Amino acid sequence: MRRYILKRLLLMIPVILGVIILVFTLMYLAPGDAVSVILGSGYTEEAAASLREELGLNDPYLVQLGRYLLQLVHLDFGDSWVSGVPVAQELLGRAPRTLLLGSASIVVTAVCGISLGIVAAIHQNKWPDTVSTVLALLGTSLPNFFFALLLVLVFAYYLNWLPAYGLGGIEHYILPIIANSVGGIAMLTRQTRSSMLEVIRSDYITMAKSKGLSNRQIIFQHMLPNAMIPVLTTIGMQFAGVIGGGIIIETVFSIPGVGYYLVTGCNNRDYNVVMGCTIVISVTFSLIMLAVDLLMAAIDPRIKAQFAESGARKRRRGNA
Amino acid sequence: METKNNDVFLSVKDLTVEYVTTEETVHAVNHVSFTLRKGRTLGLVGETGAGKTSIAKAILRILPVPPAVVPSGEILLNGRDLMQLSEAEMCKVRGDQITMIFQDPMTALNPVLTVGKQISEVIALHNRISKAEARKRGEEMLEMVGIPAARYDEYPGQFSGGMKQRVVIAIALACTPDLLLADEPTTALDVTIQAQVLDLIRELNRKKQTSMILITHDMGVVAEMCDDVAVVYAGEIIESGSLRDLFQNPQHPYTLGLFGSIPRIDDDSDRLHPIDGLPPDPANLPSGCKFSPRCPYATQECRDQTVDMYEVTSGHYCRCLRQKEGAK
Amino acid sequence: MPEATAAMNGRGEPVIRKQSQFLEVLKRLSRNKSATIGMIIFVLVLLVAAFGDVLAPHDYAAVNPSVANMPPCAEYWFGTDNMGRDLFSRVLVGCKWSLLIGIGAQVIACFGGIVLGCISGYFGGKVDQVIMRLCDVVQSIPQVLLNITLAGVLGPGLFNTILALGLSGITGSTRLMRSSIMTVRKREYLEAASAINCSSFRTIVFHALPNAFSPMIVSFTMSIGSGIIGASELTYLGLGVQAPNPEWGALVTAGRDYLKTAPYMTLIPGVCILIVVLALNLFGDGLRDAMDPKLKK
Repeated sequence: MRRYILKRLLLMIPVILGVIILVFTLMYLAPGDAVSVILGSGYTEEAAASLREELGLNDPYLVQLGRYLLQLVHLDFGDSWVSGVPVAQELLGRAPRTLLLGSASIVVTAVCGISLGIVAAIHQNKWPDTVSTVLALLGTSLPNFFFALLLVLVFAYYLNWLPAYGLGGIEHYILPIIANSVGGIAMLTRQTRSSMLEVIRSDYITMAKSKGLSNRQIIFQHMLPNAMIPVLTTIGMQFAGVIGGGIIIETVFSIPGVGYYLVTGCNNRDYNVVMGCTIVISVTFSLIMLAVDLLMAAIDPRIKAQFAESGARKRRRGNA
Repeated sequence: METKNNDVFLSVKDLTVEYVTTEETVHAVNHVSFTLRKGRTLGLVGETGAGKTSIAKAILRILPVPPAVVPSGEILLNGRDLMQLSEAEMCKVRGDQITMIFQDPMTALNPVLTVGKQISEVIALHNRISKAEARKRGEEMLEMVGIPAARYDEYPGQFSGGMKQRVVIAIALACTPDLLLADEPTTALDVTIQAQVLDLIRELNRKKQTSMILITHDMGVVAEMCDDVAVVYAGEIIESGSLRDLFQNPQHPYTLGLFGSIPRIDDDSDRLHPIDGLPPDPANLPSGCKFSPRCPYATQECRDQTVDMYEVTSGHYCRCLRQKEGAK
Repeated sequence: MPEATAAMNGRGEPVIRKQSQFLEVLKRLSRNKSATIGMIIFVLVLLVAAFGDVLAPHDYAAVNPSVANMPPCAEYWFGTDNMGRDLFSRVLVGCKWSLLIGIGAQVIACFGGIVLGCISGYFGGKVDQVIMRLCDVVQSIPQVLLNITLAGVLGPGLFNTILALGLSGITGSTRLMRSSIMTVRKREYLEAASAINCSSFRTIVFHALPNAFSPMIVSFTMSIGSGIIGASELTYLGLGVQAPNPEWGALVTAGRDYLKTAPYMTLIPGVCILIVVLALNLFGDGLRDAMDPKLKK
């Protein structure tokens, strides 16, 4: 198991490196450059030339890439072209809000999605099933910023229960978290329902029943461990949705997190900011996916068997 | 069909199972009655879809509800009607007094639990013993079915089909049941392993004095394993009796047809004699004798009249009007 | 049917089989109620997209301050916006832009995916390795983030939005295409094709692709919806289509500032997006079940 973790960690390095190079190359090829952003509209040719020289923009692609990678080793993402503030510093200050939004969203997604899915599966073809199926369908068809606006309209403007946007206490996060979870809840409800149904119909559940286990024991000891495996994979995929959706939700609710920073950077063509945000978010995402994969391997004996097989065979041969 | 009632152990009376959906009602088991004496093996023989597995599942009360409904039936185990028990009481019967070997070993084991856990689970459930002791007995069961105890902590995915079936058997026998329901225990296995598994079941059966209902469509297995045989067709028992009665003196045209469709080593004919036609759609059973549409001897009377069981010789019953008339 | 069996296409494969397959899919589809509803709605939407300009009762761009911020009424069915433009007309005209972006992006994504997926799946080996590792890299960037970054790099505008969404969808369809090519790769008819000396290109395009295409069709249908949503998101963030274009995402975005006073300006175009995407999802679900009955239990 330890070797497996180590192997997976090593395999991540080229992927992360690939992401960095990809993002850097995109920015390198992008139209427009630092000069026009930093100097504004009215600048002289000489000022532009000296700034280009200073920023090393005249160097060949590989030199610039190498310099950027070296910077990254020191966790330096460069300065924002617009404000001049180091990107790393901004990211550090904003990360807690994004992490709060993201982690709360994934928890809400998991809890609501799994329970709705189980309820739907247990009451298959009765009204709770119909209701959750319809909700799930709506949830996957709704742009999340539109859902966020609906929430603001109802809970902030009509009912006056919660603030519409901005920072403040925990109540400012309630609507964003709900808005950011709805798509994931919909997907997860569908996945949980179908994998529960598959398990309910399977022979080993009838077998478990024939052993004299109570319904409760069957659900918790035999059904959930099986049904949860595809559900966990779906939760893993929902991290992408929650992280990506978070960018939009932060913008809708004016939460100054990493996502909002990225969008501002894009609108200002502030490529250092765009690169920094993209890389940080992607690396975080990769690490989360790795954690999910490892968790799956620890839970699912079918995966575990793949890399435990050789060891077990050796042991057996030793015994014989 | 009452036999001498001295040592009747299991008695099933008028059991009916239906699968009800909005589109149709499938009559899987229709008024089935039979008895089983202590230590004997009863073979339930019939084509796929005849309702054999539904009978076994109904005895254990593990039919999928919905769609399954049991509108009538009494299942007396040592005189106690299982149909009247509460779910909690039934849980104590399942796995302890009555156990079942399932047809397909590939799907009968939970893929995410170790085989050991799946064996010791049932032991711990029905006995007041410590975890360590349950494990020890689980390991013993594994050894008994010929699997090294060292493989206790492995998962079903690491076992071959034959070994999985041994595990299923170990689970079924773990609590020394009074009644074992073996649902086509060998159908999913290779021929070579089939013999091993049958030997295993028979040996264990003899050792523990377990009664058994063996469900199969393989007449060879029946001849080898059973004391009594009941032939099931379209959810009804159409002929029953001792092994000798049925094999030496089959009465019902369907039973005759079953024997006719087995290749015989001492017969010189070039072709087998399959039974013409297909079993009836259980959602839409014919009136009268269920076999009449395929029966070469059927008359109008057969098609109109419900047919009752009729005692041919002592203990040998048949459900056939023409046989009763002695018109064959 | 002698004429039908005689009718062969250029590749020596009987045409009849294809037709009956198509009819079979249609038949199964029409038995699925929700898929039929989805299909009908989508056809209506296509009609609106085609004839929106003609159907629009007012000029969608005509500014008329005297009727600004009118709630829905007999004259202006969906009300008017802050500049007095008729929202109903804007929704009708915007329909074609939303669809264009959704479909356009998927055309790019699918085309790229088919080319890369075929190469990767058919040839395997090193080429496959390289393409798959590239996909790994791209897919470790969450989809929405990739959309935003690409749109940020390309800059706003209709064509750039389509391009950004299309490019970011390529990896997904590459993997899909690769796996379905790999399932047909070992079939006898491909061996037969190479046995009669077909070039790799010919084998892929005329023999492997048609047999591995149905997952792609389903994915295409389902992804138009996510393309429309993606476009509206980009527009909302200021990275998508620009001001005068009445794409539905832009209408929602324009309504946002008047959410409190004139919620209909946001709600109506938002619900339009919802309906179209819902219809496409229903249709796509049904199409998947109809094309692969094995999957449906």
